[in-house]
Amino acid sequence: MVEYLSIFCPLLGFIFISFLGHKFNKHAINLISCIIIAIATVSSFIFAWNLHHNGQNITLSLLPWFDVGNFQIHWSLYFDNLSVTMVLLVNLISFLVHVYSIGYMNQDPSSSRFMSYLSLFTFMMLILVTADNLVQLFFGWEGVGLTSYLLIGFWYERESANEAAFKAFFVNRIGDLGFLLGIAGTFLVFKTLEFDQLFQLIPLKEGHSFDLLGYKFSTFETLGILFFIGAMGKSAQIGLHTWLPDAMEGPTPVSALIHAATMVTAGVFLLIRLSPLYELAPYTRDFIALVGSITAIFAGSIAITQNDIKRVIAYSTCSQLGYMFMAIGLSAYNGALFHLVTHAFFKALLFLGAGAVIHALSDEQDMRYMGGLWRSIPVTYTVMIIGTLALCGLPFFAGYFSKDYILEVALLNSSWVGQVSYFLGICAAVLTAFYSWRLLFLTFHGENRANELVMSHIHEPDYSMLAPLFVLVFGSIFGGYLGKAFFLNEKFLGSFMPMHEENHLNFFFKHLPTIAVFIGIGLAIYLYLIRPQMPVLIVQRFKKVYLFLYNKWFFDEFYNRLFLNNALKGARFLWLKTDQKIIDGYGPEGIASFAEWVAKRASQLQTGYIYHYVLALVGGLCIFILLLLFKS
Amino acid sequence: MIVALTFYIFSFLLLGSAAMVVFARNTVHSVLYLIFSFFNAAGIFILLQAEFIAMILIIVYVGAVAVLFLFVVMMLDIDPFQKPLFFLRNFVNFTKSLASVTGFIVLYVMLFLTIILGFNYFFDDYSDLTKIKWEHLSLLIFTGVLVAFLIPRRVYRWLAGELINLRQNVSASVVIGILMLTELILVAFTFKSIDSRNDFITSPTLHVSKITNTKALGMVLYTDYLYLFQVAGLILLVAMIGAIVLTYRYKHDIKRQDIATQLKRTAKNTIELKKVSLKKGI
Amino acid sequence: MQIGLQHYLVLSSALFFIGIFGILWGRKSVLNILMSLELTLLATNINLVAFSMYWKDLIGQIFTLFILTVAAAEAAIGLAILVVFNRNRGSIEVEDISHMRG
Repeated sequence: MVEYLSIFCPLLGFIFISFLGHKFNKHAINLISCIIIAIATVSSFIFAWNLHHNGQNITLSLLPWFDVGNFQIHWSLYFDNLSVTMVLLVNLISFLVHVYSIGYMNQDPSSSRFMSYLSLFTFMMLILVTADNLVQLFFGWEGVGLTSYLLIGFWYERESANEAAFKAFFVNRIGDLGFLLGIAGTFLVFKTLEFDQLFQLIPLKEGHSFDLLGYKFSTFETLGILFFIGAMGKSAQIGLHTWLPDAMEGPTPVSALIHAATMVTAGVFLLIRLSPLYELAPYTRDFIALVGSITAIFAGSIAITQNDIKRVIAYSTCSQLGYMFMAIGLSAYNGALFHLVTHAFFKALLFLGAGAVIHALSDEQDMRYMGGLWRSIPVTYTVMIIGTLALCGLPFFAGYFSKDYILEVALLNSSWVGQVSYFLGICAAVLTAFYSWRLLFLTFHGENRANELVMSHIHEPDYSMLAPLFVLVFGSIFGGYLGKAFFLNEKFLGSFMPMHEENHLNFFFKHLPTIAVFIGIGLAIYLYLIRPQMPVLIVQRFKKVYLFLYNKWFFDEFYNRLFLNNALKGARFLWLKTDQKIIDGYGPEGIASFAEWVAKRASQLQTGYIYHYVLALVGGLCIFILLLLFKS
Repeated sequence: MIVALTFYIFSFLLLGSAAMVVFARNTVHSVLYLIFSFFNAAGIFILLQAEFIAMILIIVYVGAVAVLFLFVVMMLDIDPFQKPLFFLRNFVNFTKSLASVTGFIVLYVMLFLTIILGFNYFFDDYSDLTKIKWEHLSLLIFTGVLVAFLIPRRVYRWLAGELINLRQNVSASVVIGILMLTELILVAFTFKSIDSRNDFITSPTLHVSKITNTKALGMVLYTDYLYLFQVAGLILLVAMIGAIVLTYRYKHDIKRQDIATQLKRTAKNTIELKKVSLKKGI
Repeated sequence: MQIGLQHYLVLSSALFFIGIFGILWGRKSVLNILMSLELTLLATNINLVAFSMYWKDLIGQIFTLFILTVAAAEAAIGLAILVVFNRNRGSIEVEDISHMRG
C-alpha cells in the first residue's frame, strides 16, 4: 500500500488541483497539495525502511501497455536500492519545494496552477525512476520534459520565459533522439526492453558488433553513446547545455526542484540504471568521463563571470553534473549516486536560499545591485553559507564525502582518462569554490549597491520559506556522513566497486581537493573582500578572455549560426516555394483560382451575338467531319 | 456543248448574285439579288432534269418567301450598310506571322534532328530517319528542352512578338475557314465513289424521256412517302398559325363582332314593344 | 467538256460557303442572316438533286421538296419573329442583339 501511495499521491494531487481547484481558495489548495506530497514522502520513507530491512527487490506490475507479438511492455513499478533512493529523494525535495512555494508564490494569482504542475512533475519523475522497462522510463523522461516546459514558461506573459521554455524542450528533444535510437537499438539486439531480462542477456552478448557501411561497430559502445546523448540533453552536459541557464526564467522553486535535484539528474539515473550495459563499453565510459570533466570545468569557467545569482547556481549545477558523469565514466556508479543525493540537498538549499534573497529584495536578481545584506537577512545568510560550504566540499560537510570519493576514484584509475579527469576535476573544484564564495561576497558583503526602495522592504522570509531551508541545511551538513556507509557499499548496486581502500594515497593527493577549495576561497576573499577594485582591473586586462567566458563560450551564437539560421532558411524555402507555390498552387488554392479563371473565360464565350454562335456551330461541324475523315 | 455553256452561265450568275446578296449595301437590293439567284438555281435544276423542283422553286421561293422578305424589308426601317469589305490588312499580317513562326519551328526541328541524328550516327550509326523510335523521341524532347534554355533572349522576344501578332490578327473565323479549306482538300483527294449503287436505290425512276418529273415524283410521293407528305403539311399549318400568333396585336379600341353573343340574342332579350300614345313619347 | 457530278458539287459547295460567309460576317441586320440561310439551303438542294440525277434515284428530289417546304415555313416564322422583335426592341442590327450575353 505504501508503495502505491508514494508513487501515485502526486498524480492525485495534480488531477485534483487541475480539475477541482477552482472551487477552493488559494490557502486550501496550498494546504491540500502539501498534505498530499507529505503523505507521499512519509509513505516513501516507510517503504524505504521496509525495503532496507527486507533486502529484496520488488516489482509491481500494474497494467499491460504494449502487447504486439514479441514486444510486451507493462506499466510496472520496480523497487530496488537505486529507485527507492530516488523516490525518497524526489518526494522529499518535492515536498520541501511545495512548502516553500506557498510562501514564494503567495502574491502570484495562479499559484494553484503552479502547485498542480509541481505535483505533476513529481509524479512523472517517480514514474521515471520506478520504471522497469525502457519505454516507461522514456514516458517519465518525456513527462518531466513536458512539465519542465510548463514550469519554466509558468509566467507565460513574459516573452523570454516562453522562449526559454521552448528552448529547454527543444534541446531535450535533441537528446531524446539519441535515447530513442538507443531504445530501438536495444530492442533490435536483445528483443526485449525490460531491465531484468536485459541485464541477464547483456553478459551473454559480450563482444557483439554490427556492420554499418562496411565498418564494424561494437553494439554496446554504440548503445552506450546513444543513451548518453539522451542523458546529455537531459542533464545539460556540454553541447546540449544551452537550455539550463535560460531555464532560470522560471520561478525559483522550479529551479530548485527541477534543475537541481531531480530532472537534470534523470540522465545520471539512466546511466546508473544501465550500468551493466556500460560495463561492457569501455571506450564509451572514457568518453563519458571526459565529457563530464570537461563540462565541470567549462561550466565553472562561465560561472565566475555571471552576474545573475540564479545563473551562477545553474552553472554550478551543470558543473556538478559533470562530476557525476565523470564518476559514471570511471565505473563508480555508487559514487555518482551518492553525489547526486548530496548535491540535491545543497543545491536545492542554494536555490531556495537565493530565492529567499530575491524575494527579500523584491525580485532583484542581479548581484551587482546587491551587497552588504548579511546584517539585514542573517538567517538567509547563514543558510547560504552552509550550502556553499557543502557545495565546495569542505571537510565533513555533505559535498566533501561524495566529491572527494569521485576524485579519488579518478586518480586511482589506471588509464590516462582517470588522470585527465582528476586534473580537470581539481581545476573545477577551484573554480567552484571561487564562484560560490564570489556569490556570497557579492550578495551579502561589501557595500550596499541596492537602491533605497528595495532596501526599505527587505525582510527575512517567513516560516513557510524558512522551514524547508532548515531541513535542507540538516541534509547538507549530515547527509554526507550518514550516506557514506549506505551508498559506498558493495551491495548497493551490484558489484561494481572499483576500489575499496583509500589508504595507499599519499597525504598530498588525499587532501588536494580540500587544498583546491581553500585556494579558491582564498582567491575569492582576496578579490572581493580585501581588494574589491581588483576584479574590474582584471577584466580590463583580460578583456577578450572575459568576454569569451561571459558570453558562455559563444555556444548560443554558434548554434544559431550553424543550425538555426539554416533551419530557418530551409523552412522559409519550404514554406514559400514548396508549400505556397507548389502544393498550394497546384492544390486547393491553385485549383480554386483555376476554376474561377476557367469559369470566367467560359462565360466570355457567351457573347450574345448570333453570328458567333453560328461560327461555333460551323467549327464544331468541321471538327466532326475531321473526325469522320480520319476514322476511316 | 450547249449544256456546258448553259451550266457555266447559270452557275456564274448564281454565284455572282449570291455573293451580291451578301455584299450589297442596300437590303432591298439584297433581296432582289436573292430572287435572281433563285431564278438561276431553277435553271440549274432544269439542267439536272428536275423541272418540277425548278418550277416549285420559282413559285414557292420566289413567289412566296422572297415576297415575304420584301414585305418585311419594306416594313422595317433598315439603314444602308457602311462597313468596308475586308479586313485585308489583318489577314495579311496574320499570314506573315504564321509563316515566320512556322519557319522558325521548321528550322528548330531540323536543328534537332541534325543534332540527334548526328549523335546517333556517331554512336549508333543511325542515319536513317525511318528508324526513329520512341526512345529517340524522348531524347528529342529532352534535348529540345535543353536547347530551349540555350536560345538567346532576343530570339524569345521576337518569337513572342510574332505570336502576339498572330493572336491579334486572327479571328476565330479565319482559323475555322482554314480548317474547312483543309478538310475540303482532304475530302477532294480521298473521295472515292462507288461504282454502282444498284442495290441501294430506294426509288428508281425512269429516264426523263419516258416520264415527266412531275409524274415520277407524284408516283412516289403519295405512296411511299405519304406520311412525310402529311407531316410537311402539318408543318406548314403550324407555321401559318405561328406567324399569326407571333405578330398578332390585339387592339382594344376596335369594334369587333362577337358571333356567339349575336346568336344568343333572341327577340325576347332585345325588343320591347311599347305602346305609345299620340303626342306623348316614351 | 462533259458536265459531271463534280461540277454540280463544286457549285453547291461554293454556294454553301457563300451562304455561311454571309451568316458569319455579321453585317447590319438579322434579315441578311436569314437571306444567307436561304442561300445555304439552296446549296443543299442543288447538292441533293445533283446526286439524284447521278444515281437515277428519286429520293434526292423528294428530300429536296421537303426541304423546300420546311424552308418556307421557317422563313415565315423567322420573319414573324423578326417583326415582333423589331416592334419590341426597335432595332434589328446584329450588333445590338446581344441580350443573351453572359
